[in-house]
Formats: sequence, C-alpha cells, structure tokens
Amino acid sequence: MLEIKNICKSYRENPLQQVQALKNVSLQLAQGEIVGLFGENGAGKTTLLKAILGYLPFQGEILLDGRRIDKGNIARLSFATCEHSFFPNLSPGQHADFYRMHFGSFRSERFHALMEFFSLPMDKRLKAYSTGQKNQFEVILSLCQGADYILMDEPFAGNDVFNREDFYKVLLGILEPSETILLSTHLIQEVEHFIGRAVLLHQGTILGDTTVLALEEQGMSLMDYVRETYQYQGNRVSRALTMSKL
Amino acid sequence: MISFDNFILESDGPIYLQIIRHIKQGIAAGTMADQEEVPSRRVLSALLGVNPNTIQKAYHLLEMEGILLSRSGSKSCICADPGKRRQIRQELLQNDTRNWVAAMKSLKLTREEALELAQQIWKENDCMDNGWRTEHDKEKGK
Amino acid sequence: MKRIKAWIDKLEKFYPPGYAYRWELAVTTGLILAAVCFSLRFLPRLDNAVSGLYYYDSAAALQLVPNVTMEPFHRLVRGSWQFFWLPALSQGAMAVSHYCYYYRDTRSIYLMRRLPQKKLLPRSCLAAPLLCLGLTALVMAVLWLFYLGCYFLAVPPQCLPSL
Repeated sequence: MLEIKNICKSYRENPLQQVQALKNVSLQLAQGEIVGLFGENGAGKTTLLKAILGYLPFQGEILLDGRRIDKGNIARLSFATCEHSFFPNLSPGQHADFYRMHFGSFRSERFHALMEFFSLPMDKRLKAYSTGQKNQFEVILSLCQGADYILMDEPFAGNDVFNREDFYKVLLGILEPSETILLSTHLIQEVEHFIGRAVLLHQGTILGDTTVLALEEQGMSLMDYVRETYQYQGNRVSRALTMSKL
Repeated sequence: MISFDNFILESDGPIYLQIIRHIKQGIAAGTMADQEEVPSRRVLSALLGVNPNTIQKAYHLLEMEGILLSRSGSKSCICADPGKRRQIRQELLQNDTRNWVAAMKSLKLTREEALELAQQIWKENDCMDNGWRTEHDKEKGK
Repeated sequence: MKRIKAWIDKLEKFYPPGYAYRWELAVTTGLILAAVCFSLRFLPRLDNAVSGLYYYDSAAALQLVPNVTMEPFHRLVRGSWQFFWLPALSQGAMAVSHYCYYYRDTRSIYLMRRLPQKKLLPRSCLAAPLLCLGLTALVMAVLWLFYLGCYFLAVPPQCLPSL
C-alpha cells in the first residue's frame, strides 16, 4: 500500500507570491490498482508524482507499506515521463545492463518480449529513435524495472491512438496482480475502460476519487463525472457568443 | 474457446453488462456450447482493453447465475444445458421485446401500428438478407 | 596501444553513463601537457642562474665567483606553475558539465535521483574531475622533484644557499 498523507507543497513564483501546488493531498494506493490521475494543467499532478519519488521536498508523509521511501525501498517505484528519463547516448541493451546493475529485480524476459513486440531496435542509440519510439521505450523501462508501483506522467504525448491502444492492451495482459499503475493523463475518454479508479486533482486538492465500477452503477461515464466534479459549464462558449461577449 | 471477435464495445451502458449479454446471446444463439472454455480474466482484459475489475464483475455475476463455472487455475467454462439455454433465450427475448414495446409506446404508437411497422421492417430485412445471399452466391459462382 | 585503449575504456565508470568522456580526457591531457611545456621554462632559467655563478678569468678559464650564493630554489621555481591553473580549474567546469549532462535532451536526472545507490550521482559528477585534479597535482609534484634534482646537480655545493 502506498499511503500519501497530507502532502503540502508550495513554490515561490516571485519574491512576493507563494503558490500552493499541493494542499493537504491524501491518497491511498493498494497493490494491483490501475489508477488514473486527472486534472487541468497546473493542478499539481506532476508535483504529486515528483513528491512521491522524492524529487522535491514537501510537508506531510509518504509511506510504502508503512515505511518511509528511502534507498532501501525506492526500487519498488518506477517512473515514466513525457520528458524521458533515459540516457540518449546509450542503446536499449545498455540500459538493460544499467538497470540490471542498479535495480536487482529487472525483468529481462518482459523487456525482450516488449522490445520485440513493438519492433524497437536493441542496439540503436536512443537519440536516433523517433518520438513515438522514445515514448514506448520510456514506458517499457518503467514496466521492466521490477517495481510494484509504476508512476507515469503523460507517457504517450506524441504517440498515435493505435499505438496507445496497443499499449493499454499489452499492459492489461502483462501486469501482475502485485503491480500498481498511477497514470497521469489528459486522455480521459481513452483510458476510461483501462483504469479501475479515477482521482481528480484541481488546484492542488483532490476533488474526486471514485472507482469506475461505481460510476457504471450510477450510469455515469467518466467524462460526465469529471464534468460534474469540476462543474464544467459546457455552454460557456455559446452563452458568451449569444451575449456578444466574444 | 468462446469467441469475442464480433464483440463491439458500446459507449452506453456498463461494460460488464455488455460482456454478460454477449455471452448470453452466444449461448442463446447456440454459438457457445456447454462446457466450452471461456478466456481467462487477464486474457479477456487484454483482448478488450478493459480493466480486469470489470471482467471480474461480469464473470462473478455469470457465476452467480450458474452460467459460468470456475475450474482450477484461471480457467472457466460455460455451463448451459438445454434447459438453461432455453431459459436464457427466453430471458433475452423477453427483455428485448419489453424494450421494443416501451420504445414504441414512448412514441405513442398503438399496438396495431407497432405490429404493422414490425412486419414491414421484417420484410425489408428479409429482402436485404436475400440480396446479400444472392450477391454472395454470385461471388461464389465466380 | 591496445593496452592504453583498454585502460581508457575502464575509466568510463567514473563518468555519467554515455558521456563523451574521451574528449574530456583528451582536453585535460592536452591542458596538462601544455602546462608542463610552459613550466619547462624553469630549465633555461636555472641555466641562466647557474651561468651567473661563473666568470671567465684573464686566462679565459671558467672560474667560480668567490663567495657567490645561488638563488634559492623556491624563488627560481616560482612561476613554473602558472599554467597548471588551467587543467585544475577546468575540472570544476567539467564537474558542472557532468551534472548538466543529466538535463541534456532528456531528464536522466530523474533516473539518477531514484537509484538505490544514492552515491552514484555525485560520484559520476565528481570522481573524474577529482582524479584529474590529483593527476595534475601528481604531475606538478614529479616536475618539482625533477627541477629540484636538476638544481642540485647543476649548482656547486659551496654555492647552495643556507636553509
């Protein structure tokens, strides 16, 4: 279980103004869950992921099975980001060696299977890959590290829809019951069936947290739930046009 | 192994109900046999691109109705003797007809008008089927 | 040649993964060699100073100037180390360059900062520059000893300055 307790994080945007990126965010992720993390730009999604991974200081507590995240258990977390966290001058094979050396539980079989399935060349430097291929490789690495909690921050920016759909299906096929995914994405409608739970972040606080099954019981689509939670006024544009404000 | 080849995910209605309906329709139509194997939860989840919890719910409800039987490991199979098959068929037919009647009534049709409409559409459908069959035979003949 | 190449390959582990370290090593080596070359100006300076200890007498024979004392070694050798600042300071720039490498093109810093081996990040930035600094110091020490040896060889014992 990954427990996130009362996380607060603020930035100083300029000498006079402090911005609260996260305000008392509390969340619990059980093993095996596939959770979608949604929110507008600046909602705090990336900040939350970075806090979990220990990239920035914060107030509050994050526990992994009751223990603080330190060098002893950090290998149980992996990360895939649209900014890419691999070494551009190394090849995938060299990355596998690096991961094997530093993360004891690297999944070699899964790595080779995924590389083959997506037809990614093993010996080419990552620099020479296309954007779509780079995204794929970034996600593959995060899946093969041997982590229990796989955090993804908009991992498919730049991949075509078929590519993405393939990936969701592959993930569903290979994930083990002990593996958890926290996926931060804008693509609400696309991941609706893939995820089991949706967490909505807005201006640093959690506005909504529901399972997809619960939504289905209520006959609500995920998009409806998001709209309702954000009190999104869909007719805002047409009203402004009618009132000749635009 | 039962097939999900012509299963299309609709955007309205819970997915677990759609899966249940697909399996019941297969049983009712005779395309899914008694004791025939059913894909494991993980395989179906990957096939449809749908979260395993949804598959689990569908399978669980089918098991409660006695239509699915869980065997050892992750294997399950259809459990539909002729009696059960008849029952499912009846259930589906009644449900669909009930929905149709409700739809007709909501458009303020009388029973006679509704039945006449049904006859007309049925005839059109038959013609289309025959037309397709003729084309298909023509192709075969070639 | 092969042995040298194998030895250079082994140095890879002191640098960030995939870093173009050979180029950096070449620059450091070049700077050290340049500093050594400039430092060798000590030898003509020593020669000059030693020549000042002698004179030609009326019979054109080389004679030692009576009661002459040679310039102290530390004064003579001063200024031979001028250009060693270059390879020394450049190591600082290289350490910075190593850190910035993790932000170039991708953010491999995210990977480095979540490794169980926390020391790998600072090590990959600082190990090579520190080693090169050590090498620079070593070269300076060897040169110093060499110059000292030349000094004692060239200067007659009676002209040596008192400590």
